[in-house]
Order: sequence, then structure tokens, then C-alpha cells
Amino acid sequence: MRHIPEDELHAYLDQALSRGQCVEIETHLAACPACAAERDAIAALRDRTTLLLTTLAPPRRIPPSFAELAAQAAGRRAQRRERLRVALWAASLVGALGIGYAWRGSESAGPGPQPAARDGGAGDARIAASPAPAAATGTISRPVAPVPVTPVTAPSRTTPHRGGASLALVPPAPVMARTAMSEFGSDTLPLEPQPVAEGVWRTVTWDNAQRETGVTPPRLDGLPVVQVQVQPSRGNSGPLMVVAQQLHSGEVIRTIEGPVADVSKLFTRRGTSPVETAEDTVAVAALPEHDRLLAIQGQLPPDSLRALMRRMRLGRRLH
Amino acid sequence: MADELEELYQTTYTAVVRFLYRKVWDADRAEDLAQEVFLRAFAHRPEKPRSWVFAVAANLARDEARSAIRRRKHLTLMASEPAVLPSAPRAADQAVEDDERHAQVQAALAQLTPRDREVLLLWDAGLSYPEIADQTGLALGAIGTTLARARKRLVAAHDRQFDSVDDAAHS
Repeated sequence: MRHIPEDELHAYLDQALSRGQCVEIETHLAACPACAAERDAIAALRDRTTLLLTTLAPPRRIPPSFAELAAQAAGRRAQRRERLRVALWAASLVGALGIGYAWRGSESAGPGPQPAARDGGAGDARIAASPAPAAATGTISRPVAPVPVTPVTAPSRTTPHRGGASLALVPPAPVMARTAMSEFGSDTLPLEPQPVAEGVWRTVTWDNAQRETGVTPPRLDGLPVVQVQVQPSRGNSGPLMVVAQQLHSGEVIRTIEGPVADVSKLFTRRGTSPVETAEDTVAVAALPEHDRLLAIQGQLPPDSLRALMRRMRLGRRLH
Repeated sequence: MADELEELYQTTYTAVVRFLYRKVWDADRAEDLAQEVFLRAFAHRPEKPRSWVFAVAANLARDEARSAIRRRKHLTLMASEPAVLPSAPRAADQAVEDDERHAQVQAALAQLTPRDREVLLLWDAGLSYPEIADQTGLALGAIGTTLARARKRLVAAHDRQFDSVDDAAHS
């Protein structure tokens, strides 16, 4: 007769065997006193072990309620989401800045007298208000008549300038009668793309902005536009546009659209861009058009800015 | 799923605390870790929640043991500084006896191999053989053998200690 192995008796007493195995063991135990004695010894050992381990129990306390734990878990989930949101926002901004930096590097490494072109642009901007701008710049092949610009009252800005902050809306550039964009597509020869002085902005009317750039500046439907600023296209990258709009609560938000590199520069360069240093936050989104970014900037909670961004993107699709 | 978790919490929390206590030997820490286990269960929603909570508990206890070693090293470095907290006076003989018994069983448990100890503690926490096998990586058929060995060794180690204490008292 085969006796029952020790480990099987442990498993039997621990109720770890199938019903069929149990029946088989019980049948054998009924007929085998040796195995029955072994079973009793193992049962005693098992009880002794349990008793010893009972000594090693922590003092009994009332456990926290499940609801309490669930609330804690919910709080932790919210924290995790918030951290993820901040990380994604930071990553998108860093990514945009990185692309801009790389773009800038590739531009400066490319052929062409970049610094000279910038100087020329600045000179152009300075002289643009004078009666003979083209002659002074040397970069425009023929005189261009200044386009009358409708002055737009800039909103008063009450936010103090903080040197340490990273975002910056420069005071609006002085109204200038720079020209050439309106001439594109006319019966005359198109002008060469003009290098635009960094930080030099043209404040134009909504209609002029559309006419000059050929695209609809970014804006949120239903909010009054208080200012439109543009830098014309350089090469094929498209124009850089900043549209200030006033919310019903009085805050001014700015919607910015332009080439990745240029939008990135707005957030890195202080004092020369229309993006102001303040407690502003920014929501950024990439556009389906290649290498262009859309951003909204204002003194609003990030959630509100993201909601406005969704609204604006939806509006663009519908248009 | 929330109902399942609640049921698991109601039926398993105490066992998880006990399981953790037998690894970290600190009741407060065991409770903290047990709550951490269930908070993680909320986040992960495991498929086999019962096995999962004990697996996470074992991992947390392992991490805790590592950090305890680091803390001990730190305390060794600070050994020259005076102790901040004096040990609390024992109020009753019963408490002393309980502590002695606790220390003996703890020492006996420490004499088991890590694998035997883990299997024994998981079994005592109420896990089934398949759950223990799943968590420890042992074959299902090896659980009975391991438990048989662990039980015998625990009792033998405890009896040896008890005998030595008894001999010392009589000499």
C-alpha cells in the first residue's frame, strides 16, 4: 500500500487539493493507521505554527474606512493628472523652443549675410516713416508708397514688468508705414522677402492684416479685437501675427500664430516681442500647416487658456 | 470594480497589515505601507487583486528593509549623539512576557530561509497554494513541500530557543 506523502497531507489539511484527491486521501486514511497518525501530527504542527505566528501580530487598530481611502486615492489621481499636465505643457514649450533654436541655428549657418540683412531691416524700419524709405534701405528695389495705417488704441497695460519672468509682451511698436506686403501679387514684380528686424512690429487694421498677409489672423470669435500686429512672411514660412482681444471680464489675451521659430523667439526674447512679462501663462498648439505654431497668452489660469485654445482650433476648422 | 476593491479591502486589509508587520516589525509603518498598497490598487485596478496586493506589499516591505539598512548605517554614524527618546518603562509583567514570546518567535522566524519564510507568511495571510505559487515563482506542487519544511523549522527553532532560555533560568 502506498502511503500518503507528507507534502500531500499538508496540502490536504490546507484544503489545497481537488475534491477527487481529497476523497482518495480520506479513503486511504480510513484504512491506514500510520498515515492517519501522520495526518494528526501534521495537523498539530500546523496548529502550532499558526499559534506561534499569532504572537507576531501588530496591535489591533481600527482600519481607516474605505471611503477615506477612496478619497485619498482620488486626491492622488488628481495630483498625478496635474503633474502630468504641467509636464506636458513644459515639454511642449521646451520642444517649441528647441525647434526654434535649431531653426535659428540652421538659418545662421546657411548662406547669405544674415546680420547685414537684419541691419538693413532695422534701417528700413527706422527710415520707413521718412518720405523716402526705399532709397535709404538699399534692400528694396523701388520706392513704395507708405500704406496708411489706422491707429489702433492699445489697451492700457497695468501689469508691472518683472525681469525674472520668461514671457514678455513688449509695448506695441510705434505705428509705422511699412509697405511692401500690399504689393505682393500686384502687376509689378514682387518684392524680395524683406528681412524683418527682430521685435519690430507693425500695428495694422484687421482688414489690412488679412490683405497684407493673405491669411486670417488668429482670433477667438465673439471677442472684440483691440490690436493686430504683424511681421510679414520671410521666405515660405508665413507671417507672424499677434491679435489682442478683450475678454468680457476685461482681461486682454493675445493669440499668436506664426512660424515655429518666430513664435518660440517671442517667448525667449524679452523687450522686443509683443509678449509681455507678467504672470501670464501660455497655451501652445501645433498647426496642421507645417512648421507653424498657434499660441494663446494671457493672465488666465492654464485651464482657461487651454479651453480658449480648443475653442479657437475648433473655430479654425469650422472656417 | 470599486465594489470588488471595497470587498478586498474589508477582507484583506488586516491580513496585509499583519503580513507587512512580520516583515518590517513596526506596527505604524506596516499600517502606512498597507494603505499605500491599497492606494496603488485603486490606481492600477489589478486583474487578480488579492495576489496583487500581497505582491506589492512584499515589494514595499523589501524596499522598506533596504531603507531601514540605510537608516541603521546613518544611526551608526550618529552613535555618539545622545539618544533623544528614552525607552518607555514597562508597566506590567504580562507585557514583558509578551515581548519575550514575541522576540522568540521573531528570532525563530528569522532562522528560516527567505523562501520558506515568504511561503509561510503568505499562507498565514490566507493566500491559496496557486496564489502563493504565482507570487513566489515556485511550482504549485512545491508549495506543500515548502510549507511542510517551513512549519517544522519554525517550531524546531522556537523550541530550541525556548529550551535554551529555560536552561539559562535553571542554571
